[in-house]
Amino acid sequence: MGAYFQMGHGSENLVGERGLQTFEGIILSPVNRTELELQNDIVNFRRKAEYDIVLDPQLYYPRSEAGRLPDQAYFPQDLDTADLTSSRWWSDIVGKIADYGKRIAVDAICSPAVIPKKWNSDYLCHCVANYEELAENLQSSSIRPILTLGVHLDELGDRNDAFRIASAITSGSQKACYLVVESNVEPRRELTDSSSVLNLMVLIGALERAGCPVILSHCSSELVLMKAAGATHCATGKFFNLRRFTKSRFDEEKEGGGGALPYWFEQSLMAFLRPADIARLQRDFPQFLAMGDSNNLWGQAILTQFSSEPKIPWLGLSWRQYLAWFGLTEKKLQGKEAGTLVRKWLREAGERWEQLDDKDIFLDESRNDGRWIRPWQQALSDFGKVDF
Amino acid sequence: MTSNLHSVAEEACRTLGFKIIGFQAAGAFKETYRAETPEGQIVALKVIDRSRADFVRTEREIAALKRCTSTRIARLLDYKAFRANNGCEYDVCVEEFLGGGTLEDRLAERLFTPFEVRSLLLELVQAIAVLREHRLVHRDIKPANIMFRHDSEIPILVDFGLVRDLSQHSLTMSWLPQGPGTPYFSSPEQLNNEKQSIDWRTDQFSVGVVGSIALTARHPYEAEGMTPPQVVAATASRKGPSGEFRKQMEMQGLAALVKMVRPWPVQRFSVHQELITALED
Repeated sequence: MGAYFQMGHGSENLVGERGLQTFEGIILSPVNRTELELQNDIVNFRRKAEYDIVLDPQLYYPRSEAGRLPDQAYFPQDLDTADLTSSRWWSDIVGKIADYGKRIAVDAICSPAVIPKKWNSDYLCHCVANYEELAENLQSSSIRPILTLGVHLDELGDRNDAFRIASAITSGSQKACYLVVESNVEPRRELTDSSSVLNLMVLIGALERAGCPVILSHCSSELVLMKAAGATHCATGKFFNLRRFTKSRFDEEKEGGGGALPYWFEQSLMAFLRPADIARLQRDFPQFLAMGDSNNLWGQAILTQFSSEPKIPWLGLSWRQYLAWFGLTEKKLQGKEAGTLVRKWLREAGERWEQLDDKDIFLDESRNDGRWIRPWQQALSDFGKVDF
Repeated sequence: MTSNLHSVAEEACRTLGFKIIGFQAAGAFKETYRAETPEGQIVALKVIDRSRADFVRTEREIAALKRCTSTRIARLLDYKAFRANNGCEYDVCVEEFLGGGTLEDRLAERLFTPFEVRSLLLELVQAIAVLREHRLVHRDIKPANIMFRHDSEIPILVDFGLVRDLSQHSLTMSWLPQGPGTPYFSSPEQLNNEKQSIDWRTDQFSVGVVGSIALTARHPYEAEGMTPPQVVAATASRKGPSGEFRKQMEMQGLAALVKMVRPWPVQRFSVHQELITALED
């Protein structure tokens, strides 16, 4: 139980930093590092703490040639001509991934899975088959296989889909699921469709109740809902604008990470704030700033720097403030009380947004107005009524 | 009773040195007879018309029975491909004879007590756990396919004609609206031909229905006044167990039965030991 740190560009140096020790696991990214670099990273990580180190082979879009992925020993060389539906073709890749994981000495490996244009029963069988193949390859080692499932948020419009997917995914010998949710939601924007959010929660709840713990990848502030749904682990990266799992994120990373704008994550509003927003709150609603786990070690460092040296860039601090909030909150939201706590946070956040609105206080970014709070409340309330 | 298959059975018995004692049961393309071996052992002799049956299914049934050596599963003693005098091919299976009749026969006489249902379910769960170990799904568990030895109360699963071997490709076309199985006892995933969700939890559902029938003579999805086709439709559309059924099972201390017949496999017990514990509680 605990947050996982999803590695991205230059994230390695953040592992084990002060205020970020709550992270329990690390998800490696072969997109950004060579095999040798990953091997060395793992040695370094293990010196810092007992992390659960997971390899995500990142073959979600096999035709995309992001970063260092094509250089990895398991990356298929015949992509253009291969039949991606062939189980024999995947079997070869799975074997290579298992060998790769053994060489770099990880604790767990996620099975390779493509993110489909549209999921159907064949796709679910593909996920289960790749997992079973991986499990067989890892039988003689202590490395844990994890079943990867990719779903598009827009495809979760029907409650039955969540149960249908969960039923198929739990038909094999899986012991855990790495859930990758693709969405078209823009970077830095919250999920606002209560129905798909609810059904994602149902999917997580169904898997967890069937004894299949979930690691939810690429998670953002919706972490609070997913923990309320029972997700055992949520994983995050450092870049706010890359926090969404979109097809384009691979291209964005090519350009060097793109985490150029600093944000403050404020739990009282469940929102990301720009520097001018912080100044507004300090002036008109100081009681709304640095609430809950937003008031962490790095949050305090930011506020101190703002008051003493306001011109100094704070991008690095902002990543840390967000990650510290994520790790602390993830830890806090364990167990049955999570739902009650999140319900309270959302209710209070909604009230605070109303107060800002009443005083004509608008935040910098046009859609940063708390519009996601009510759908989240709806999703959480409806989740409580689902007959599992 | 005489039929085309009866004469083939007699012919097969002559070849094997067996003697037919009586007729036992008939299916669409197979018949089963009681027969006596030269050693005096009573066996069940099943004759399958290969021109009408799907031979691949027969092969899978035989392979499944050979793999499962459990006391809760009917033993396959011998199998022979048999060319009859009429020039046609038949499959002849020699299985252990179960002299205690079927669960269907017993339920025709009286319903079971909650204690008896619990014992029945515990035994059947052990049987499907064995199948699971071998990656097999029976897909046709119903009172007629549950038999007893003459000297034992342990239920035995018989008739593996629809067995699904999860390690082999599926034989059911995905465009079919409904997968194989007896609809009244089938799970929603069978009724909707959702092949990707067929696993041991499918058999768990059918065992749950058998338990409900044994205790109440009603299907768990049956609301007042429903006909059997309506019950099947309610199951296919995943209406879920009726409120009355839930209440009744809780009162009888059989709440585990409610979970066994939940509409989605993921809602049922995922591990058989968990189910056994819930039933024992």
